Amino acid sequence: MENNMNITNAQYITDIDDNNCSVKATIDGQELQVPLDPANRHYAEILKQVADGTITIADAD
Amino acid sequence: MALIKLNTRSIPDDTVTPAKVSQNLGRRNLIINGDMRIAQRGTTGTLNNGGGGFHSADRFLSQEEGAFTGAFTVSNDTDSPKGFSNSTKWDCTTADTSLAADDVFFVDYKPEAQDLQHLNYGTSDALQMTISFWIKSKKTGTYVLWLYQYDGTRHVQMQYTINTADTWEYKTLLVPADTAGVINNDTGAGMLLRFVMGAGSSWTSGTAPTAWASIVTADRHVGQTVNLADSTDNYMNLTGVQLEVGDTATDFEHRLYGEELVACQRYFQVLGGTGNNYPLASGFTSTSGFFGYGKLIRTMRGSPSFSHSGSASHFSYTHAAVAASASSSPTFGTNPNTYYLSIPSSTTTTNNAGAYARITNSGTLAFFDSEL
Repeated sequence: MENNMNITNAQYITDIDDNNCSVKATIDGQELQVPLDPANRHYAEILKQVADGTITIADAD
Repeated sequence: MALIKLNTRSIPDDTVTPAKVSQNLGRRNLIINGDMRIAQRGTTGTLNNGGGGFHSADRFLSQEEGAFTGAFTVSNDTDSPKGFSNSTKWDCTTADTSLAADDVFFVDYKPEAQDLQHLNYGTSDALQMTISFWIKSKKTGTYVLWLYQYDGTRHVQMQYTINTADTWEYKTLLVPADTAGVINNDTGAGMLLRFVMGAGSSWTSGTAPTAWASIVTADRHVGQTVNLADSTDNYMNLTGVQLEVGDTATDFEHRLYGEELVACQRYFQVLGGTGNNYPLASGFTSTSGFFGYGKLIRTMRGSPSFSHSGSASHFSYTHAAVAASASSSPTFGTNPNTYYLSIPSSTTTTNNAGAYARITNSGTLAFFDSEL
C-alpha cells in the first residue's frame, strides 16, 4: 500500500565491529534508527525510495 | 414428570445457529486495542499533510494522501458508548472544503498475516467475517470501510451510514469470504481495514467492489460522500472495533488491560518513564563510551526502529565510581527481542571495564517501533 513517509538525512550507523547495523534517518520529522530488516516498515520504505532514486544513504561517519 | 436426557449428540448439527451459541466465547476479536484504551505514544497528535502517524490509540494509524490541506487533532477521548471507557476522536481544526482528486484521509488497522490463516482465504473453504464498531460523528451521510489484502493485491469495500449527528451508533458490516486471494503465513500485514473520512474523485469515480476483486484505484472508496474536513465543526469518534469470523456480530470482547497492552507491545514498546534509573543494558566501557546488550520487554513482530524523547544526555552509563552521559544520541542495533546499545561519551573511561547503562530521567523515553 502507498506510504507517505518523508525521509531525509539517511546515513548508515555501524556497530562496535564497524559493520553497518542500522540507518539513521529523519522520517516524518522524527529522527529514527532503522534496522536493516526489510520487514521493518521504515527500512522497506527507505529501500523503496533508494530504488526510486528519491534518497541515498550516506556512509557511516 | 418425565425427564428427557439430552446430550450434544442428540442435537442435529443444522439446528445449532449462531444465535443459540454463547455470545461470550473468548478470543473472537481479531483486532488489538479495538476499545482504544492503550495509547503508548501519547494521547494526542495531529493528522495533516505529512502529519500522519499512530496518534493516540496503539495500532490505529491516522494518515492522508495527496495534497490534503485540512487538519485534525487526533486524541484519546473519554466520550464513549455504554460499556466502553475510551474512544479515538478526530477533531477538524483546519477545513478543506474542496478535496482535490488525489486527496484522501483515513484511519487504518492492519492485522498480522499469520493471525488470519484460519480464514482459509484463497481456498474454497474461505470464511466470511463480520466487523462491528461504535461511531459518532458530526457529519451524517455515507462512509466507506475499505479492506485490502497485501499479498493478493485484492480489495473489497462496505458502506455504512451515519444517521444522526452527535450520536453514538453501532454498525455491523459483513465481510465476504475470498476464495481467490491467498494471505501468506508470515509476520507481514495480512489485511488493511481503512475507515475513510474523506476522498477525492480519483478514489471514488469507479465501481464499488462489493466482492473481493483485484485492486482498482478508482473503485476503492466509491460511495464516500462525506468529507469530514469540510468544516471545523466536524469530528468523529470511533471505538469498539471488532472483526470476527462468521456472519453475526457478537458483543464486544472486552479483554483485560494487561492482555491488551502485551498484545500492543508486539508492535510498539516504550522503555523508561518509571523513575530516574531505568536499566537498559550491561556491557563494557571503551575510551569513547559504552557498548553492551539489553533485552526488550517482549519479542516484537520484527526488528524495531528506535527513537527517543527527551535529552540524549539522559542515556548514561556507570562503571566503578565513574558515571558518564551520552554526548549525542545512543545507537540501538535491534533484533525482535534484544538490542545492541552504544552510548558515545566525551568522558574518559577505562577501556573494557564492566559497566551498566540506564536512562537517568523519567522524562526521557526509548521507543521501539515494529508496526506494520
